[in-house]
Amino acid sequence: MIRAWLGAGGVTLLALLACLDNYRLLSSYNRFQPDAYRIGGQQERWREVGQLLPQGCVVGYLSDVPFEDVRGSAAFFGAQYALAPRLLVDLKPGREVRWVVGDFAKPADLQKIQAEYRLRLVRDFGGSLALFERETH
Amino acid sequence: MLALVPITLALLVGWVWVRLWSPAAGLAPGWAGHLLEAVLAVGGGIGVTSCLFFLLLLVNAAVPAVIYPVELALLALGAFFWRRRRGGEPAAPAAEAPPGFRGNWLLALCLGAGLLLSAVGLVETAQANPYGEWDAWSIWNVRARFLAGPDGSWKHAVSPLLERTHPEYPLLLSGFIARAWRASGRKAPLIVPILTGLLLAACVPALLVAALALLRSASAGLLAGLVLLASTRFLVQCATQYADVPLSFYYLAVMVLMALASRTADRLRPRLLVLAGFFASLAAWTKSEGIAFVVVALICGFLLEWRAAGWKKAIRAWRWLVLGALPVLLVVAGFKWFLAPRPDAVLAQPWWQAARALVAWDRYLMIGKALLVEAVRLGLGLGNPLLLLVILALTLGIRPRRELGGPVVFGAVTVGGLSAIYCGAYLITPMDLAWQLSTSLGRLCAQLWPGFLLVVFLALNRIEDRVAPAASRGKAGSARHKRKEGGRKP
Repeated sequence: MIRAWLGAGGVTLLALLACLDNYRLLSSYNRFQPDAYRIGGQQERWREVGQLLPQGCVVGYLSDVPFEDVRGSAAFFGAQYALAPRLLVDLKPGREVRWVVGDFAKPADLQKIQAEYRLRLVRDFGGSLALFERETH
Repeated sequence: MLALVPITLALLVGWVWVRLWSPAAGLAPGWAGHLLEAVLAVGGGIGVTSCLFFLLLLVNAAVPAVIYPVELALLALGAFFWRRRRGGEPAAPAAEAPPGFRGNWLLALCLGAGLLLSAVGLVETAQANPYGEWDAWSIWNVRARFLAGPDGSWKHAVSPLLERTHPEYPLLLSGFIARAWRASGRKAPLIVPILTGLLLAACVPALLVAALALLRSASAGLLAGLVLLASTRFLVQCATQYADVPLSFYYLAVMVLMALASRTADRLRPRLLVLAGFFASLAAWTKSEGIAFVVVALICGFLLEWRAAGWKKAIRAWRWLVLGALPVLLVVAGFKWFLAPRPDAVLAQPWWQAARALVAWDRYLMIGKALLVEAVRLGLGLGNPLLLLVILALTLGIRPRRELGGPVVFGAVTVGGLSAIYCGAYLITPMDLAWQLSTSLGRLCAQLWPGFLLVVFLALNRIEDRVAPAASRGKAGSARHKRKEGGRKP
């Protein structure tokens, strides 16, 4: 009987302490890493671009950070989340999309990009964002 | 606030239909029965309305003017049948709870404190990370945004162009969130995914506590709740807005309903089996792993029934399970075959590549090591839930009661079978194994953990078996506890 009391009591106490530790862990994580990938900031950053793009269209995505790099994939998914319900796709050769967005970590040579992908610059948003349109359109 | 209206409506739909099925009718203690029905209503309501929303999307009718009338009609239909049944059928005799453990009040107090700490921690996390973790904004919620978009943009959620995420993932979570966004007419308020994630996360400990209070004793339920709250890895998953915790809820619901069915006399049994099948199908509508769960659960359910009562009864029981699962499974099958046919990378690889991975012994070692690390990380220090379970096993002892043998075996084989499938998938995955393990093993463990706890606590002796009960009212109570014909088996 004492063993059962001790077991249940010990487990209750340890579990309660664990809950306290869990709370501390969550609190410190929240303090040091609030919105770690800046998704809230991405929403703001892409707002003006979104206003120029039709709802529900497919949009090409260009970046100078490779997708395999975690910064590249975070930037892509952040842009995708901000621009949804528009669908962002990697700009592959042969893929026909009317609209293309550029998301650059470093100042980009927009002239060169236009020539390389046969795009027309619609607007340079500064701050490393640009919106292009296919020349054929 | 407007976004709360469709969420509330979904919960009401779930509540009426779960009340109609009355999975806890005649069981004691009453609070646990009500709690069980309430949490099943949350999961059921979310699942049903998500499925309905998807069907409305297919016929281009997912607009508030259609969503609300359809769901209100479903609510009214459920209420009508419920009232009719209450009038025409004698209420199941309310059993009185057997005498409980004297320290239950203290356990309840501690569980309440643990729940409060966890809830505050999760709400603070939601405030700090309102968009959730990586998969929330790269998979689940972004697909919800597609589904909630105007015109035909919902098709982006299943588009083959969605190469960098998973268009083949089922749509329970994304569909429910999109439904609330569309029905409220608001542009993707963040409160919806946050509230959905927290609601389903809260349902997991509630279901575990209620189920064990009904199947074993209140003390078993309260202790299990405490051990679950001590599980750091599980708690962390609750704040991510991923589909793994909702999936763990549906797994647990099926195991609980199967356990209740195994203790129930013939008249009420089909209801519980239909409900178990239905919740299994909702697991399949939540994540692709849920499809494997349905297969494992159906096979286990049939084999155990066959062993216990012969093949004729097994087929009869299996028929009810399949009947409950069929409607949503048809939706999942249609979704997988016609809309999102992209095969899983594990299944799409050539057989020789998988065979070569199967004999790469270093992969077994890697998976074993990762499982060990995961076991250590399950909790913090002395609060590790595995350690807590060992303490309980040593002090209370493990000897499943005869009538609980079936549910214990069902739960153990289901959790074990799924674990084997998950490990098999890791073995042959064409992706980088180290990356795959580091990004998904914690989530997969979180899916199975509540079900594992249910099995362990069903098998553990109760504190009441070891110490004197709280009150003598139990004498009369335990006599009444023996169910009449048509109620639960004694």
